[in-house]
Amino acid sequence: MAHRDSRRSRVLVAAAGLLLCLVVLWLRVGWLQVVQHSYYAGRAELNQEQRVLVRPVRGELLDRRGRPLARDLLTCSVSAAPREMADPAAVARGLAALLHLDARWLAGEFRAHPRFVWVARHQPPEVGETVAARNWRGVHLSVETRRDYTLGAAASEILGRTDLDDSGVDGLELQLDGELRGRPGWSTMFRVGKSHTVGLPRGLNRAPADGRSAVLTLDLDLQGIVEHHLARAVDSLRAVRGFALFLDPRTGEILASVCVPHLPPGKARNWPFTDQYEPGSTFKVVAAGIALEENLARPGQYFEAGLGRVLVAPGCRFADSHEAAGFTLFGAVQYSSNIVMARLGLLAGSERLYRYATALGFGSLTGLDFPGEAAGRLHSPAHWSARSCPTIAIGHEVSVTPLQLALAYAAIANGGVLMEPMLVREVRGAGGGALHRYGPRAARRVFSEATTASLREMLTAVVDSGTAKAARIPGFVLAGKTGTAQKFDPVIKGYSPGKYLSSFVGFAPANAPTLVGIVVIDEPRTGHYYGGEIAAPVFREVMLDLRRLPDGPFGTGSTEVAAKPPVPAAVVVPDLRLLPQSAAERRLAENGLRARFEGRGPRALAQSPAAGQAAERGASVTVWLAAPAGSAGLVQPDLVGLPLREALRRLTPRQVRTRITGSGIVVRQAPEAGMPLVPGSECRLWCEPGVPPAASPSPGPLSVLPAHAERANAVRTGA
Amino acid sequence: MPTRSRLRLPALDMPLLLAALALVCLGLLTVYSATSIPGAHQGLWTRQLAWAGIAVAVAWVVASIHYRAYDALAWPLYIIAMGLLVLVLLKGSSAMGAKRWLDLGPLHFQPSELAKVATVILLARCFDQEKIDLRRFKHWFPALLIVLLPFALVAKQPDLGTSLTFPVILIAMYFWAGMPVGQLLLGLSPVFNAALFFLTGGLWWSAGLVVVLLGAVRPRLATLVVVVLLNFCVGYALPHVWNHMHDYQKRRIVTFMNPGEDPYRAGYQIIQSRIAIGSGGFKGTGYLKGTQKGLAFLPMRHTDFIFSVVGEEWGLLGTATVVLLYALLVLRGFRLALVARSGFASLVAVGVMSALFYHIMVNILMTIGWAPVTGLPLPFISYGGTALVANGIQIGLLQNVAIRRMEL
Repeated sequence: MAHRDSRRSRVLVAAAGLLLCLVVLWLRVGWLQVVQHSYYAGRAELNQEQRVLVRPVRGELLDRRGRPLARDLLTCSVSAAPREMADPAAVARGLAALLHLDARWLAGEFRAHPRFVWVARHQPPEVGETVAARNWRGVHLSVETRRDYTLGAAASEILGRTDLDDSGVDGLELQLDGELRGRPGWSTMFRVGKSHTVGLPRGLNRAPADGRSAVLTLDLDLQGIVEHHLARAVDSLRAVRGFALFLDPRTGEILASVCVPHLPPGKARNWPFTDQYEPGSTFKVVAAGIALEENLARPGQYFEAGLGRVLVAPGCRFADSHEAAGFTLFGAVQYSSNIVMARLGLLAGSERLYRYATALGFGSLTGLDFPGEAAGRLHSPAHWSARSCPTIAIGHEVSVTPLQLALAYAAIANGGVLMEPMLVREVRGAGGGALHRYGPRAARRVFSEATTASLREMLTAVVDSGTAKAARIPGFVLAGKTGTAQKFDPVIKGYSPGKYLSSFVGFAPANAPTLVGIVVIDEPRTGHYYGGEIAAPVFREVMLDLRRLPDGPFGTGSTEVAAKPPVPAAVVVPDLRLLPQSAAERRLAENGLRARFEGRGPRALAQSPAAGQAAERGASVTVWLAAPAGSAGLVQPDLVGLPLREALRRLTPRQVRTRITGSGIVVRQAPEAGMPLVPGSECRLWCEPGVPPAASPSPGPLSVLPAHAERANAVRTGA
Repeated sequence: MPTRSRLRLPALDMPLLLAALALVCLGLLTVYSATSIPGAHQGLWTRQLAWAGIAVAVAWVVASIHYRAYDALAWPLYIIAMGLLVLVLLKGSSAMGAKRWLDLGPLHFQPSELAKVATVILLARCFDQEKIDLRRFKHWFPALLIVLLPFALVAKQPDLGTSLTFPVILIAMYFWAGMPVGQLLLGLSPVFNAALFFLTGGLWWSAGLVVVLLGAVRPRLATLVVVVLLNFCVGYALPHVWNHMHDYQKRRIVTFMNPGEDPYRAGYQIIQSRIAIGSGGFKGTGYLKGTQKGLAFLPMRHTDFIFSVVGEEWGLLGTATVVLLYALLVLRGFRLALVARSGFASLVAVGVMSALFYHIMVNILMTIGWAPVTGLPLPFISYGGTALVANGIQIGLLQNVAIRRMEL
C-alpha cells in the first residue's frame, strides 16, 4: 500500500477524473433535455400519433344519361380476434346468425385461430352496420372500397381499370384520373407501443376529398347492343378479333367503343383508338370528295375501267373485282372501283390529296387525349412515289384509326364539318353539381354542303344496291362504305394472302344522320372476307336493335316500328350481384327482364347471363342467392385468356373435375365465370395453342369473389 | 471488537447513507411508475419494495461485521463466488440469449453481482501488503489472474457489460495500490489498441502508441515482455474475436456507432430512450405521465432504461438530482478510501466505488446513446433484486469502513 501522502495526490487525480466524467455526462443529459428538448418532444409526439391514409371515394364514370358505368362500392369485411372475447362461443353463434354462416364452423374457426379469423369479407355496408351495432368485443370491421363496373368486362377497354391503389392504369380511368382520384385524407390514430396497435381515432386531421365524377358521352344501351352483335359475329366468323365505334356525327360524341374479345386487364387496348390499319375502300370517299369539291368530276361523269384490269399510270396496274368497261363517279363509289378511284387520285394530285386527307384528320391525333391513341400514318407528299397518288386514293399506303375514319364519315354525314371527338360531357363535383360542361367543337369545314350531299347519295346507294347490300334494312335508309384490306405481315414484309381486315363505315338515317358507326372484323376465317359480307351485317343488326329502343338515337319516329307490335329488343343485363333479392327483382323489371331465383340466401351472389351481356327483352335472368361469406369460394373463376396450366392451378383448390379440349390458352369455359361452383362438379375448358381468346367473352365476376382477387393480381403482374 | 453495540449512528457516513437511501427511494418511485402501466411487468414494484427492505437488512449485517473478517475470508468468498459462476454456466437459466441467472429454490439471482464483491475483497487483501511494488511482475500478475477468472466466466455467459466491471475494478485498485500511472497506461495499451482498431481499422497506430509508451515508462523486462505479448495477441486476435462474436453483440457495437442505421430494430432502444430523455425537458412530463414510458415505446423501462423514465417524467431536475446523488456517493466513497484505517479497508472502498461508478456511467451513457446497449442496471434505481442486494452489500462495506475509521 502506498504512503498516505501519495494517497492524497492520487485521490485528487481520481476524484477530479470521476467528477469530470459525471459533469460531462450531466451536460450531455442537459443538452438533450434543454437544447434539444423541442426536437425530442416532437419526436415523442410523433411516436404516439400515426397518420393513417384515408382513401377518398373515387369518382364515378356515368354514361350519357347518368347511369353508372364504373363506381366505388363500399364493402365491409368482418374479422375476429377470439382471444379478446369473453365468450367466443356466444359471439360465434351471434355472428353466424347475423351473417348466415354455420355457427359450428365459425366456433371451430375461433378455437383454431385465437388471434385472427376472417369471418366474412367484402360484405355490403349494411352488414357492417348491423355487426357494429352489436358492439361485440373482439369483432373488428374494416371498410374497403371496390371498383365496380356495371358492364363487367364489356367496355373495359374504353373505361380502363384501376390498380390496387385505386389509381387509373388504363383507358378513361387513366385519362380522367386527375378528376376521379380525389385527394386522400389523413386520420391521426393513437399508437400503443411497439406492437403498433391502432387505437381510437383521435381526430381527423384532413378529411379526404372524394373524386369528381365524369358523365361520359358513351351510351350504356348502345355499348351493350354493339357488344352483343360484335361478339356474335366474331364468334361465328371465327375471327381473331373485332372492334366497333359509334359516334354522333352532329357533335362528335363517342357513343360506344367495343372490342371483342376482352383481353385481361393490362393487355386490353381500346382498339378503335389505338389500332391503325390500311383502310382500303372505306378511304375512297376522300378522293371522291376531292373530285366533287374541286370540280374535277361530276357524279355522272364516266370513267373507263378497262374490264377490270388497267394500267392507271406507268408501272401502276390496278384491278377491280367487277369486270366493267367503265363507271360513272357515282357507280365507282357504289361498286368500289379501284381503277376509277386511282384515276381520281391522279387527277387530284398529291398536294390536294394530302391537304384534304390532313384536313379530315388523318395522320394526326384527334385531340381526344385517350391513353395510347394512335395517330395513323400519312406521309407528306415529299415522300411519295409515282404510285402514291392512285394507291392512297384507294386507301393503301396510309394507316388510319377507326376513330379517324368514323370522324371523317361524320363530316360527310353532318354536311362537311369535321368535329372534334368527345368522350366527356360533364365533370361533376363530389356533391353531384356540374363543375364543367363540354360542348361539341368543330375542328374545321372540309367539304361543302353540296359535296357531302352528293357523297351521302352515293353512300346510300352502296347500301341500297352496291357492295353493302347486306346492311340494307327495309324502310330504313342506311348509308355506308365497305372496306376490305389485306393484312400487312411484318414478317414477310408484304400483304399476307388470305388474311383480311373487313370493315364497314356507315351512318343512319341517311337523310339526316344521327349515328355514325364503324365495324372492323380482323381475319374472318369462314372463307368470306369482303367488308360487305362480314362487317356490314353487324352494323345492320345494331341498327335494327337501336330502332327498337324507344329512347335510342333514332327515337320512335320510325313509321315501321309504330305499325308493328313491339318486337323484343336486346337489353343489357344489369349487375345484380350483392343486391338483396327484392332489389335484384326490381332492377331486372326496370330493364324489362324477368328474374329466376335459385338457392337460398339474403343476396344475389351470381347471375347468368353475366352483367353487361345483352339479352332479349323479357328474357329471364337466373340469379343465385347465397350468403356471400360462406360460399365465397364456391364460384367459377374467370379462366378465359389464361394459360391452361394457370387455369388448372386456380381450379385445384375448388375441388372440381376438369375436362380439357385442346391445349394452350383457355378460350372458353363452362360453366361460365361467376357461376356457382359445386365441389365435385365438372368444369369444361376449351383451349387453343397460343392464340388470343377469340371465343365469346365471358365477363367474369368483378366482385366478392376470389376471381376478383385473381383479376386484381393479374393487373399487378400484367398477366 | 465488532459487536452490535459499537454500531452507533454517529459513526456512519451519513451523506453516503442518505444519498444511497434517496436513490433507492427515487428508484422505487420510478419502478412504480414504469410498472404501473398494463403489461407483462405490471405491479413488479411491490417485489422491488420487498427487495429494498432485504437490501437494507443485508447492508446492516455486512456493515456490522468487522472488515477484518472479510479480509480473512477473502479466498473462501472468492472461491464460492467462482463456483457459483461455473454453476451458472452449467445450469443457469437464460434470459435474452445469455445465461446469467441461478435458480436456488424461490431465489433467482445473478452470481456475477456476488463475484464483484468477492473479487474486490480478494484484490484488497492481495494489495494490502507492506512491501508491494506493482512495477514488479510477481506483484501485479497474480491480481491480473484473480480478475481474469471471473471476467472470463462472466463474459462466457455471455454478459460482456458486467464482465468488464472486473478489469475496471482492477485498474482502479492498481492505481490506488500505487502502480505508476505510466505503467498503468502501458498495461492498458491492449485496450487502446482494441479501440484504435475499431476506430481506424488498422494496427499501425496501435503499434506506434505502444512504442511511445514503452519509451516513456521504461518498464522492467518481465513487464515489457508481457505487455508486448499482450498487444501482439490483441492485434492478432481482434479480427478473429469480431468474427466469433454473437450477432447481437456485433449489432450492438454497430448500432452504438450509428443508431440511425437501423431505427426499428437494434437502434430502436437507443433512439426511443433518447426521445424519452429529450422530451422530458426541464421539468419533465410529470410523474406517471410519461408517454414514452406509458405507451411502452421504451424497452426495458423498469430495468436497464430506467434512467430514461426519470428523464422523461422528472426532466432535467430529476436527472440532475440523480447525477448529483451519484456524485455525492462517489465523493464520499473516495473520502472513505482516504480516511480508512487500514490499507485493506481503503482498497475495498475504492474497489466498491469503482464498480459502482462503472455501472452508473455505462448505464447512463447507454440511455443517452453514448455507450453500446449492455444489460447493466443502474445501481439503486433499476428493478432487480440481486442488483439491489449487491448494492446493499456495497454500501454496507463502505459503511463498514466508515464505522471503523476511528479505530486505533
